[in-house]
Amino acid sequence: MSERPDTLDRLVDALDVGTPPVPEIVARGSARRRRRRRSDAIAVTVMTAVLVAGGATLASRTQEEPPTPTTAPVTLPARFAPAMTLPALVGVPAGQAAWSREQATLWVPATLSSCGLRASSQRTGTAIRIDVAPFPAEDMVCDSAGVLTAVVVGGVSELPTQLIVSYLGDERMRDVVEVGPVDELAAHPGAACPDRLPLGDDPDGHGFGVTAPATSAPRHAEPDRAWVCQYVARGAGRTASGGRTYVWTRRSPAVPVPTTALRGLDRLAPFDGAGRICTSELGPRWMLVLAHGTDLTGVVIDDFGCEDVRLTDEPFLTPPGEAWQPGTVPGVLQAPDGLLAAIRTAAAEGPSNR
Amino acid sequence: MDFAEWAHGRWAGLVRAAIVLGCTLEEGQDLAQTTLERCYGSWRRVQDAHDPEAYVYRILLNCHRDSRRRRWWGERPTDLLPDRGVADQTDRVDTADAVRRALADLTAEQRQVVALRFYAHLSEQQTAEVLGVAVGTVKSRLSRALRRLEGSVHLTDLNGGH
Repeated sequence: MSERPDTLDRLVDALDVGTPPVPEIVARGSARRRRRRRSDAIAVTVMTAVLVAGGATLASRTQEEPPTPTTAPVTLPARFAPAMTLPALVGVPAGQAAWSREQATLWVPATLSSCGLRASSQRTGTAIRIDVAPFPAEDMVCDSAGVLTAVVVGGVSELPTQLIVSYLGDERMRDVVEVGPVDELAAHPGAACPDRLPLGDDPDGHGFGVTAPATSAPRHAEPDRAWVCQYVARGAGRTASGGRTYVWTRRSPAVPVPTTALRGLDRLAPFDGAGRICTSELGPRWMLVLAHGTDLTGVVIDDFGCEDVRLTDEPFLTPPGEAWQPGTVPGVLQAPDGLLAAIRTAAAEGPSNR
Repeated sequence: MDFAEWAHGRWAGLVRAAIVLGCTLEEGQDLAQTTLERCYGSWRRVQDAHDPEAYVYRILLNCHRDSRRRRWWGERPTDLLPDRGVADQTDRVDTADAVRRALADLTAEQRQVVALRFYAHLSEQQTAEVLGVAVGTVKSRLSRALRRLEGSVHLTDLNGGH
């Protein structure tokens, strides 16, 4: 192999490069270390460009205008991957906030500086105030049209009633977010049921949802309106061991159901497998969508096997069996005699809707 | 491992590697200083690194890339005014400038390989790890770089035409 030219070698070796200014290096390195510790110490609020993955949108952001509740909720999955980045962050539109009850975390998208943001939060009663400013960046050039970032506020176990976001401490750049209930009906115009049942943890790949029995019965409230949709299993792929995986897709349009036809919903009970023998064939599933005002609840009933029942508090978002909102319960329930037959009848008789 | 002693041992290699990468002498010294500051800020991580030498030069390369992205070298506030008397610096600046001209025909990738392989004294494997490329890529880049250097007019001129 050829060697470096002798002249170059001599030139480089002849360079008088001086000696390192160790005291200055140590002083500046220490300052760098302190800055990093300070940023780590901001425990409640964290600047990140990589964490957000959509969310149950709670409110619109307004600029000194009357608050407008959002009509476009987006999904916040139960888990998120730290590697998720800009495309996932887009799941929370600019001007909206996202909240996860499971993670007790609030996300607020913000774009202010390519060097990152420093944020602090303060709670007053049921309101949360977030102050956002560019991260102090020595020797860095920051672009105000920088990367999409999000302020993540931890420890938010309950919805705030108001969110105030101020930038650079300037009250003129203050956003006031009124947190209001999501209008689930308006969020999905033209559809009472989702095209596909939401999937959660699905270790068997069959898309049934959780298998643990519910620990309590749901509290039933008379719905204002109701619809029923039928879902069938469609092959979605193969597991690593060669088994089939399924997704549950809607077979036909939603059918409005008279609420008087749904007797038995108030007798849903935790699944009790003792002494029950269930067939193992696969059939369709039904989703009853119950509207209480603008809030929707889904009741998913298997038309096969043990006729398991699972609830979803957001039929478009929450996987069956993972409901948590007041009145609903997670886990598997069992239907009282006659409910499945009533649903079949209603679906066959009711006029097509939406 | 004492940081001051360790920094003294790395200084010349870092500055020379920076100059081979295309820096002026002053830029090279700044780059070496920034690199060592980062090392001090993460001193435990440097000590625990699988290959501390490669780790340090990876920081140097990252600092160099950042500085090129910024297109300028940030001013450093200092408590001391640099108005102390110094010897004539003409010769050392000329030498550094000559090195830069000699390397002007190389691509950025070829400069990196030359700097890491010959002036940081990293092995081909270490060089490949720092650059995130295959060892074969290091070899081929080095081979092309050396062919260019052998035919460099600047080097011939600097060598008195011999």
